[in-house]
This record gives sequence, C-alpha cells and structure tokens, in this order.
Amino acid sequence: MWNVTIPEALRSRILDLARETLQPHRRQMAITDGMRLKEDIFLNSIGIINFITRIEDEFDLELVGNLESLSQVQSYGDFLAFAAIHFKEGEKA
Amino acid sequence: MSGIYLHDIQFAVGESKPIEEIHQLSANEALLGKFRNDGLQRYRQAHQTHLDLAQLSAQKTLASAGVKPGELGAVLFCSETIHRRPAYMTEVGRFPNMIGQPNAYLYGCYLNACSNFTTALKLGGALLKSGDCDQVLLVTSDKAQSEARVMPGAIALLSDGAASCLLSKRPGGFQVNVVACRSNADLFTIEPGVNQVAFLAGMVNCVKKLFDQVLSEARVDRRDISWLVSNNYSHSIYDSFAGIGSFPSEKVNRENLADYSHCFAADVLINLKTMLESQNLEPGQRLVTLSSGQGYFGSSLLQVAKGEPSE
Repeated sequence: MWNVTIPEALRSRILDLARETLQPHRRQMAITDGMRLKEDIFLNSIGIINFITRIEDEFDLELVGNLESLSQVQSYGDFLAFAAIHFKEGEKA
Repeated sequence: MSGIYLHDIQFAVGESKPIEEIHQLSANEALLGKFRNDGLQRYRQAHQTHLDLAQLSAQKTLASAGVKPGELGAVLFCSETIHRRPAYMTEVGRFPNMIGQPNAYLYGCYLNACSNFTTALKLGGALLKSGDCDQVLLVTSDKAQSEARVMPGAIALLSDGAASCLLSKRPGGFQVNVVACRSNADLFTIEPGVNQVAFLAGMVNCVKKLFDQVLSEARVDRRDISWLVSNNYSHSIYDSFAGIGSFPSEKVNRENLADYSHCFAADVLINLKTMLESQNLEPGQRLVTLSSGQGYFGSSLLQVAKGEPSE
C-alpha cells in the first residue's frame, strides 16, 4: 500500500509480537505480508485487540495518534509499512 | 459523585424469540453459527412502540419508588430510535404526561447510541448536585427498525427494550461513586466492519483510559472490583472488554446475553436489575459499568448500597 522500506529489525520485532498474541497451537504458522490481519492471522477481534495492546506496550505509543493512516491497514504487510512510517519517533530507545 | 444513588431499576422488553427467526440469519447459516458460538440464543421483539416500552418501565420504577403523581422534577429520556421519526418531538414530548409527571422537565439524551445510559447518569448526577431537583427519572428505550437486527460488523443482535431507574440522594440500589464519559470523533470516519484495526485501536484507547479514570477517581484497585457490567454484545466482546481493563474474564457479568441479546442502551440497567434479583451481590461490593456507542464510551463505578439486595 505504502511504498516504504521496512527495516528488518522492525519486521522481526513485530513478527515476534504477532506470534506471542496468536493462540498457542498457531504460533509457528507462516505469516506473510499478503495475509489479512483478522481473517488470516488473528481470526477474531480479541486477537487484534491483544496485538494492538502488545504493540502499544512494546513501542510505548498510541496507535490512535495516526488513526486516519491506520484505517487503511488491511493486511499484515500494510501494518508493517504503517509501522515503518509511524513508529520511529515513539519507539523505545 | 458520592451521595447519589441509582435505585428502583425496572425494565420492559419484547417477546423472547429464538435468533433463528431473525430474517438476516435464517438466510445466512454461517452468520447464525457465529452468533450461536458467541453465546447468543434469543432476542426480544416488541409489538409495542419504543415509547410504550418506556412508559411501561417508567411506571414500574415510579410505583416501586413511591413517587407521587406530579412530584418528579426531571426525566432524562434516552433513545436512538426517536430521531428516525419525523414526529418525534410531539410523540416523546407527551411522555411526562403519559407517566403522570406533568411537572417534570424532559431532557433528551440522543446521539451517544448504546452509551446513552452513562451520558444520562452523568447528567442526572449533575442535576442532583446542582440542587435543581431531588430525584431524576432515567429512562432508556429503543426498538430495532425494519427488523434489521444484525449490527454493523456483525458485533451483536439488536433487541427491543426499555429500562429505567430513579437517581436521588436516597440510599438504595447502587451508590454512584464515579461516572466518566469519553469520545473519539475520528471513529465516526471509520466503518467498524471494514477498517477493523483502526476501529479496535480507537476503542481500546478510549476504554482503557475510561477504566483507568474511574478506578483512579474512586481510588479503588481493580482487584477490588467484583463485577464488570457492560452492554450485551457477545462472549468475544465481553472477553475483549475484560482484557482491555485487565479484569479477570470471569468477573464479566454474562447472565443476560443468551436470553436478551443487545437492548441498546438499556443493557446495563437490565443487567444490574437481574444481578440484584439473583441475590449474587453483597452490600459494599463494587461494580464497574461500561457502555459503548460507535465513538462514545461511558463507564461508572457503582457500589451495592447497604440493605441490598432487598428481599
């Protein structure tokens, strides 16, 4: 969606958080950029809520600060691109 | 807001029907299965208007509280149904007379959707504190339109119902310790079922801050909360609310989901009433309520009054 380079360290960190919030028996599943966040990865709203909460805690930020941009996120790849654009300033040292 | 009580809760709901009879579900087996798996079994369908339901409930509240005709100073009337009707002003404007309270000023609480209850609780508390009146009738009543009962994003099933209570400084029912409301106007630019991540991020942010606010203002640790009482959406959403507030999932009151589904802003009052009736509460216990509309959220911290639950 956004033409942005996603740093490997950021990609790896978000993948770890995504796996943590998956149901235990699904934690080793392959997660690709084209997957839809709800239907293909987290399966329900609680999964997404847990992911959001974990991301906000880990990066010490509030996703609602960029709600308009976030509203365009549908796939996992979209979320990574969103993070690459918006997480730099709020990221913990 | 200490010294204000919410008491004499009553409600009037439609006939209980299985969710399989909802037209939108009878033609969609997958959606029906989703709701069944999430704890929904029946909904309420009323043949009366939302105004009739409000009258039924309000008259029961006034009778149980012993309010004499003409004695009431204010009615807070909550609904999302009325502004869809062209004649709503004349219809609802008659409400004080319909309940024998011609001296009551009718305040309308609209727009905040299924969070209208908390909005009215906040305003009712302010009216009492101002000394403008010494008792306020809170009524919330809604009816689904055109049998469209599946909410956007398929988050819940709508039921027809009204609930009411009296707010006063007379001890009984629940003491209202804190009431807080929070909104996020950006959420009105988002389709809940389409832009799910953004919508959920907005909701998480508001609800988390509300819970923190009511607990902080009440100086209460979340471990001292006996129950979380919210709108009746689904088990998944109950779990979400509990997770956002770091409340144990088993502390969410769920007893009315299967039988009542989501009676708009009346849910929380209905749940409080049935909790009192089931005798599962003890004096002094603290409850956190949560009511939510699309971009509006409200929470309160209530404490079971001495002498409750009454026989």
